[in-house]
Amino acid sequence: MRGYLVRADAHTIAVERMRLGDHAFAHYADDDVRWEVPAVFVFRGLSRREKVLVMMDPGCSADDACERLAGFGGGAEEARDRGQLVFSSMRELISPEKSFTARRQLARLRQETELARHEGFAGLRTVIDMAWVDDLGMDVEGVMHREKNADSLFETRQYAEICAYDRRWFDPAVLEEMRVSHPVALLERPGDLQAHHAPGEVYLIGDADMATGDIFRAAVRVAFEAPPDRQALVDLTRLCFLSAGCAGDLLRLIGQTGACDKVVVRCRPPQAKILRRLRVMWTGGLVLEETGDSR
Amino acid sequence: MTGGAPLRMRFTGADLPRLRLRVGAAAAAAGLDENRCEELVLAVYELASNAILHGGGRGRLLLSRVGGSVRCQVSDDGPGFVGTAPPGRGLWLARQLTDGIEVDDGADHGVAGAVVTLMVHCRSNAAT
Repeated sequence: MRGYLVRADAHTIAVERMRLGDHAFAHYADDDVRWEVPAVFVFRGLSRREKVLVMMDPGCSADDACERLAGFGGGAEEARDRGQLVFSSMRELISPEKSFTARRQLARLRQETELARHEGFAGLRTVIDMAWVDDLGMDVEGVMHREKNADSLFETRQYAEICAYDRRWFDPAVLEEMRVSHPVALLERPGDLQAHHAPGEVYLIGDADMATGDIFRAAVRVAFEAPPDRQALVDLTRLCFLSAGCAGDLLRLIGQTGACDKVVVRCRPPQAKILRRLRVMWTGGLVLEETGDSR
Repeated sequence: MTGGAPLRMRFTGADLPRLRLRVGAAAAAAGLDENRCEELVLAVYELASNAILHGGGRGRLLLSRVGGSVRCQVSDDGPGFVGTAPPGRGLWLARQLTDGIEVDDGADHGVAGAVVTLMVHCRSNAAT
């Protein structure tokens, strides 16, 4: 790892929130962790009746990749047998061409999406480990050009893609440019929690639970330090999981803050339900704002 | 719970994200809608974290479909509830979010600690 700090911002989400039409940047710096985001992505796709195309490190066989994914959930081998889960490589995708061109790759992915729809699937989702760049001797500038000019592939919302970058191999400047240029950037691991702030506002992403509770509480406290007009916003809509403990901590922190007259908690219906169940801890300054956004 | 096969997992604190994902997938496969899946995942997580915090740092999960319901049992090897009412916000919330919950002494099930079993009805069943 070369010390690339992956920060969260408005386009960061957890992989669980991905849906057709998303083009996502993912990153890892560990040979076990590299399977976690793809595994969640794969199994979510299978459960939604989408076809899933996996292009992992060219050094990893299809059988090995299937075995690694099977460790995260049931049904990978059965899905492979019925053609819903397919293992391939960039070399195979662009064949018979020998060298990569963005035009060739995009055309092939469109074909694969159409084929998936023709086969009766809801769409196609693809996870691509960017180790293919080294395998095909591709220049990084060419890859960056492709990544920034692939929007048309996603417009029909029948295709989703994760591009997974190894932080040990790519230059930090390239990684940051890739992170920013993808419409969606993923948390490194399922179960992670990250936050970003604006004055008096905190946006939480991922899972708030026993393991991430300290990060959760610290992030909320920052929003309450000196909010403009004594109003603060806590946005939970990009949380995938909110434990009872963290929900209670949030209400306790709202009750304790002396810097806010009003705290808006923006959340999805299941989170609102949990907070209402804990209404005995509510304070007068709390406003619950429910949104249907399923991110 | 692919194809109706039960989901069995042993877990520690490090396994909780994976446990949530697998419970969510199993619940969806059993026919629970998205919001009910989230509620079941939360209820199971609360039981599992209780097992970790109070039941010796680890536990076991058994999730299966029983008729028109999802049945989920979490057990541990801790001291159990030793005759007192089980405490805690997590267990209270699990009770609120599910259609039934039983708290047993592990001795009745051949294990050392506590055994908590919860039930959630699938939509087609709940609608009748």
